Amino acid sequence: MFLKPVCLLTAVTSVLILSACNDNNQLPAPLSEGLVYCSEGNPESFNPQLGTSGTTVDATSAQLYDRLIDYDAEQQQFIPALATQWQAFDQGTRYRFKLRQQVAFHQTAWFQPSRPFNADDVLFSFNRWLNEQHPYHDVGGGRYPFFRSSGLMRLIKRVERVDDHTVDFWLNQADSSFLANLATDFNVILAAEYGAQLLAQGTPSDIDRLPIGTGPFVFDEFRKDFVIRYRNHPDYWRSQPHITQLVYVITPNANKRMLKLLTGECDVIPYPLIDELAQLDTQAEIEVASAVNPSLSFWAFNTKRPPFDNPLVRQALAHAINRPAIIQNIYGGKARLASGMLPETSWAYSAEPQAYPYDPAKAIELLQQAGYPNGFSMNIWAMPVQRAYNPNAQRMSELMQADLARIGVQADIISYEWNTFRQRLARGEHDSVLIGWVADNADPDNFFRPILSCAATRSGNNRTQWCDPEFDQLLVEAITETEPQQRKQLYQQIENYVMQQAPLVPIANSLRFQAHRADIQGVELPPYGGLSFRKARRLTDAPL
Amino acid sequence: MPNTSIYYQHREPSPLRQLWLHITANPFAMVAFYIFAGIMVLMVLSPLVSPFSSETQFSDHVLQPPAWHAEGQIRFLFGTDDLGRDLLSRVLHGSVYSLGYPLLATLLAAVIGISIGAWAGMSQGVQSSTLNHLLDVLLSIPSLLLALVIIAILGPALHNVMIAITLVLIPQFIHSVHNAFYEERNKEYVVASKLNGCTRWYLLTRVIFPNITSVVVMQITFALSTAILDIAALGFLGLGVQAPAPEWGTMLARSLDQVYLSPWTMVLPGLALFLTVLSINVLGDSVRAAIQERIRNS
Amino acid sequence: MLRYSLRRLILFIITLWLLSLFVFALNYWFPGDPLTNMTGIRDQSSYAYQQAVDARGFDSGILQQYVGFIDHLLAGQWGNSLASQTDVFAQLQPLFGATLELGLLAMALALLLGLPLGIYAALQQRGPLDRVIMGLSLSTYSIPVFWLAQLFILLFAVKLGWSPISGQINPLYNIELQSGSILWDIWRSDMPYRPAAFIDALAHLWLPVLVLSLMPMTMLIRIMRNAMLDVLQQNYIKAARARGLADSRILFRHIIPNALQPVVRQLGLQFSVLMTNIIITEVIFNWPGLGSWLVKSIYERDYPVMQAGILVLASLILLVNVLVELLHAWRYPQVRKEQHAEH
Repeated sequence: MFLKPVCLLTAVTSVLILSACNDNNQLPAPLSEGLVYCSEGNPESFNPQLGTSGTTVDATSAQLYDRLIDYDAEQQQFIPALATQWQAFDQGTRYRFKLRQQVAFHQTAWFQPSRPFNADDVLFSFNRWLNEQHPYHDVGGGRYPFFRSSGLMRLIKRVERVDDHTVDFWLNQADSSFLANLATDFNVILAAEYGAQLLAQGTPSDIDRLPIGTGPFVFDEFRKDFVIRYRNHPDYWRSQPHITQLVYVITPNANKRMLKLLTGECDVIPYPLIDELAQLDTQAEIEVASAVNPSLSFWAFNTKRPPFDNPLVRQALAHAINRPAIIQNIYGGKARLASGMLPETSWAYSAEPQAYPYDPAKAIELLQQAGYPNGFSMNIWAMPVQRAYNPNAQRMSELMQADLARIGVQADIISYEWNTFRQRLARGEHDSVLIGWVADNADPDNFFRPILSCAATRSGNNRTQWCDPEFDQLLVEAITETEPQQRKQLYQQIENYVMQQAPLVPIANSLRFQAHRADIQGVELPPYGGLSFRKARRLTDAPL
Repeated sequence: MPNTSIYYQHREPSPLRQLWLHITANPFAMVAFYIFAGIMVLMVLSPLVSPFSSETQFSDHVLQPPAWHAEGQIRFLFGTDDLGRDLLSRVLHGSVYSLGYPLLATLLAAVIGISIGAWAGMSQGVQSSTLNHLLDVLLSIPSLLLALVIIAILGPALHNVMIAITLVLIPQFIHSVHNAFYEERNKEYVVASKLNGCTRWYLLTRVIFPNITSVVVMQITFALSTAILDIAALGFLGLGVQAPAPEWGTMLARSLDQVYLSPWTMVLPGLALFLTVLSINVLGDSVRAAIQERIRNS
Repeated sequence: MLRYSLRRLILFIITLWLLSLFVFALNYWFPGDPLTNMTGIRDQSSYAYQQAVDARGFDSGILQQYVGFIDHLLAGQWGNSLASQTDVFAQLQPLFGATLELGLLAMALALLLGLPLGIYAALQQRGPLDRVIMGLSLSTYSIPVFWLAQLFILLFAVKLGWSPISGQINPLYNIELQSGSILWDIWRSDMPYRPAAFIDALAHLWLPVLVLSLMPMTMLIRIMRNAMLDVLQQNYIKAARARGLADSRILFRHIIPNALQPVVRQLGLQFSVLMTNIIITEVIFNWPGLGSWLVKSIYERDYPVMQAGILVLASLILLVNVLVELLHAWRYPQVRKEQHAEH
């Protein structure tokens, strides 16, 4: 592709043999057997247990690690992974898992496993976040936001080793979402032996920096802001990955990512600019894949800070934003204007009229009632990266800036690098933020508890800092209710309550897209979770 | 009317006037001068001449191509950006940020720098040589790097950028003015004035200063183009003037998101920047040529 | 020469000392806790923080703190990055190599093309080609580098496909990171695809090098041309002509060596210009060098990285300036006399 002028260059500088320029069709082995994924940002760490960021999950979960069980979205059932079979006892308060034998951990320069995977590794992985006395509990911050906000931390009483390849999970009460939560990308299995070795070396924090797992790829190197390099795991227990090398090139700019896909510098990119790709891809070299990934983008107010502690102000701001224009302008019409928290695809969803139509006059009136006739100034934090739910938060915030100016509210836009951004959000330094949520599982509870509950406030994941006992009470009622129709009604009640309080303004539900070169196949994009390169391969037209 | 001067009088034009004569003799410099003057006029009149406000969003006309394009409209002469804002209006309004503010920073830096430079140029001995060495060192560090450091301390915002650029430009003025004074200080005409009993102040302002104006003018053009480029570069890196202000560098950075399908969003602010800097550089170049000629002739 | 060199070296050391004072002061000027800004340890109750307090003299006066700072600086303990918690000094070395590679290649290209063009323009003084070269050089000098880089990427990388858009090399070539300079690392690696990797690296390199070299190149053209014109008017050239020396001999033995003097004097300044542009160019081309590292650290408010970037970039520029001055003084002895006589 780029060989022509280079041949000239090499000829001029007379550096190297020219023969390499002639055989254009023969790609050198590392190129034909490897794959370049241009990711949108740096992972926070190499352990998905520690965060909730999709960027981290995409970079680690399915590549480096395995889970006890996986969820097959097509068959809608759980399938064996590191556990071969499982069974519930004692009215669903105890689960017994039989573990797979002969599963090898990664061999790297920093760790040589002496034994295959067994029950100790399961105990190690779960006790790390479950048991506050565990030596690794506080390594890497000790926050475990997923486990805290999903309630898993309170659900599991203890994990017990029965024999080398059997473990028991004791639960505090029966919970039908237990298996679904186990199958999420966050429940990865780490190596207990590696943990012990690092502890002996006195460098426990390396466990999340130089990761060891059982997954299809082995971690090679990470250069922040540039590349993550993986190679295939030769002793992987499932069938070997087809590619020998997997490289994540960190490319935060969406336009650059698209251009690099067109020039062939990237093989796969997340969150493509669909319209623009369609116009540019005249040779049909690019294919776009999409997944129904239930998601919600929203504008959250920091309700701990005045004036956003006043519901009237929040309602006024919700009326001030022209959301249909946002859908048109930012999503290119490829998203649905959200009417509430739940997306249309959820079974608990029921169509309701828009609670906050675009109405600047109403907004001014509400502001006057709240005691801000002359408006105020605030900041909008806009994510620096693209997410499935929001393709361009910066541009969205500029649209909103103009809308807000109309009601006398002066908004400044603030942005930091993605990880810094999230850390500062968790510390509650923002007035308001444009962010969103991608569902981890299909339960409607997943759209409320992790986003708005008091538990989520404590784990720093509730961007609104909103902690309302009444709301939490409603949530508990809804999750203990077993009759679906009743449950649906309860969720409707919750929706109405949230809309009335307006700690956040829902903006859009959208699909998740991914684009790849036409010669790449098998990149999996599961609806609930990160992408997987296990089955990815490059089609070569070389005669065999 | 009879000629009243009886004797043949040759009046040497003042250095500033000499400079002007030199510029008018050079057609390129004249073109540059007119371009620069035109941009200045447009900047001052930008609230009046631009068709729209810089922040009005026409959501029905997002990424509208320029008027000469088949899909373009005469309403948006140079097209619109990704939020449906008229590009011509934005570039015109942006001149305040990208030319007006650098101009202000340059003048501020000039006033401060010239005062310190003149004071240092008139003083003797160690003090002066230490200052000179220090300035040499400070000047070898790129102005953009210094501005980045100051922004890192103060945080990105318009007034901080102004502070940073002004601070960065001051040493350049001190250096050139100091050197110019140093050279003039011991020339015969200065010594003669000294012997005549002129005060230091008179010496400074009426004797030496008129003779270094061309150096000052050259330094101002140089500083101005540095200031413009640095403010634009900071804007481009997202560390300068913040959105939605239509600063040219910020506009350029924003245009990168849709540059391939809508190249006009990138061309106009870049061209404005280029023309402004080019006209200033051509002017500065001819000032430099004039100074060299004077030295050669003297 | 020795006296002159010593003088310059002492001055250099003094400036480095001032620079260290400045960087030390930055820790107090940046928002937040000075010790956190220095070491990257955020948790003030942690054991590591207490250790740092002791080691860096933060329980005693500012002088002790400065001594501690210098101690750690010289020992290569530059703290950890606030963002990634990795050792700053360890990160630094490959970044430095990458920046140096880009900078030196661009400077070489600027010299290789700029000097002959300047000579040519001077010999054709006031001719059409002289005007074209001078006009072009003035316009190129006025193009903002970030605009130029983007235009070049659009033209050469996207439209023509002559070069990749960004990066150092196709990352699938697993080149072990040693010096950070990609060509050198390929040379030293033992993988079987060295020629192909080398070509790929060159394909990535030429565009940023070209963008970077244009600005110093235009300056060098102008300086060289003016210096040539000055020398051409000198009496000794007239004398040489009068003695009937061949034109080529006069040009190469008398004019060019003397005309090079102001060029050499300006090289340090040109390097500074180059370093300004390298900061922006690295960001645009995603080049893993000091410039992009510094800019990202400013986005992330990563103070340990920021001060390391500033310190290294500034020292590099100062060092090159001193080296150029020494070269200048060694090559052109008359300069030393001037320096001694007056200042």
